[in-house]
Amino acid sequence: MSDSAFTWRDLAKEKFGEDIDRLAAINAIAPMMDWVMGRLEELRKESALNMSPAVPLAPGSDDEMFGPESA
Amino acid sequence: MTGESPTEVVWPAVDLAGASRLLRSGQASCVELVKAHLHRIDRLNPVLHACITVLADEALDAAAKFDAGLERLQGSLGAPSVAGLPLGFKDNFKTAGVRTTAASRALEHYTPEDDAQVVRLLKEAGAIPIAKLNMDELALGGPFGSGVAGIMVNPWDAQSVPGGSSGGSAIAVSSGMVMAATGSDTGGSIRNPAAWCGVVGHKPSQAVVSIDGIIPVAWSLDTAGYLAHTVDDCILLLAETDTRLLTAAPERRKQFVDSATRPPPRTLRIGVAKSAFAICEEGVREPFAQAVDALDAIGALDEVVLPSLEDALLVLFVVAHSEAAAVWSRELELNPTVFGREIRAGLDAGSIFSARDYVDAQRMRSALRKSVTRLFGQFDLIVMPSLGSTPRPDAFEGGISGPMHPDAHLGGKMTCLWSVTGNPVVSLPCGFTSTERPVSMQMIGPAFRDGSLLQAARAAEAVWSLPRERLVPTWVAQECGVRGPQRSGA
Repeated sequence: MSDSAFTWRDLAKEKFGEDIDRLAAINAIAPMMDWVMGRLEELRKESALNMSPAVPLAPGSDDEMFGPESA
Repeated sequence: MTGESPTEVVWPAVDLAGASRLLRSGQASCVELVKAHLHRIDRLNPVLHACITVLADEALDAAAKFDAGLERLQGSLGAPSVAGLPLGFKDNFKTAGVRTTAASRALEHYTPEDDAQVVRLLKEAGAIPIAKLNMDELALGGPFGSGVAGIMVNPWDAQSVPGGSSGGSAIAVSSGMVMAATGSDTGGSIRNPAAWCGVVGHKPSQAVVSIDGIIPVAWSLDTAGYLAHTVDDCILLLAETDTRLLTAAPERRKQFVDSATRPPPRTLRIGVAKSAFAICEEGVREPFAQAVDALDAIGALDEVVLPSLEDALLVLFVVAHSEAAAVWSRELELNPTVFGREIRAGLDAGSIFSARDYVDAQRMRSALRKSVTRLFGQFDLIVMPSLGSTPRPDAFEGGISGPMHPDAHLGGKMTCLWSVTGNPVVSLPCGFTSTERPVSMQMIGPAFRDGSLLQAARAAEAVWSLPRERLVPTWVAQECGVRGPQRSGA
């Protein structure tokens, strides 16, 4: 499924079908969903994420600064 | 207990270490200490709804054993310990043989066979579980839950929620129902309620305290920690549960406590996130400004420019809800109505995000973490508000750590960056508004430097020097007979 072909609203309708209650619940957070999806697209267009690792890393595993407790 | 009643002697004037000394010296009875806390639960819980399950009989049995001397020798090297002290556990920490609901109908009848690792370690150290504590549903929903427990009430403002998700823990500590409590923090769930209830909240570095046996929200973000009255309390609790100390020599734990309770070895380089202070509500700006100014007694203050809090909120939203939707996918499919409406919206949102959305959010997380790592090359400590407002009845509706809205600067935006990066944070009461409501500062340290952070927080606590009695809401103090300084607020 292409990211650009469907909006999150289309996906919600497809996923929750006739369940009016669930659609209403998720529509209640529509401003946040719109903002999140819009900002993600912006970052992709800016290629802002290209140099970042594609896997989640635990703190301390992706840089040299984190070390053992020194207190 | 000699002299005064247990209530007056132990709470709020005496911290965990002080109570430990009283117990171990025989100056206080563990049974009386537990009874005093059960008494406050009896009086206050029907109003505040902090406890889901009260372990009265079990706690009194454990206390009697302690007094009989069976447990008195527990603890290491004669140092203060949590042995004999009544603690509360957020109800998403599994407790063997005790119902663990996470305030959700999805787990309403769930009784685990095993303890979460944190529970087990604290019990092995002699702590006495006295209550399982209320929370936002599954640590992700809003405060109005799905009907397992009552709606939590902020002891400072009966019209407001305590903040979430560890709201019951914050209420119970604030009002003296427990001496300290566990909490879990995925996006601010320890720090937010700690701030709104006027107690100390400690989110350790991610993975320093095991999340094994905690009902998950989001595996890559969940962090276990504590809510307590003082930084010293947090040090004591961390010393018992820091996974790095579990396999170390026994004296290493005492060394950690001794080290963390020393003054910082040098003048601290303190980064002040001025932009975060600027977006606070007007009523809290002045106490924050005064608290920041006072920090020049322990460090050199300079402005720090943080990475985008908005981007951190985005990462948190996508990652937390995607992972939570995976945790609860089966139940969500088979029986969605078992979840409260607030959490279901979040879980449904998580099930809509694509794999690409999730991976890109994690990539952004890595970028944020690198930016923060660079900042800690310049600073030993970063300070910013825990929350930008005093308790509000509406501020936590709708989900994780704050309103689900990108402009929600009063809620989750203050805490989310440090959840995403995994840095340790102490949320520490630092002053009062003109209406005598507590306000709290986040003190953030480099990842895995929890001892250094606690040193710094302890130094700040001494500089601000807020009277313990003033951090007890007036009506609670009157209800429990606490003698404190004159209060101006109601």
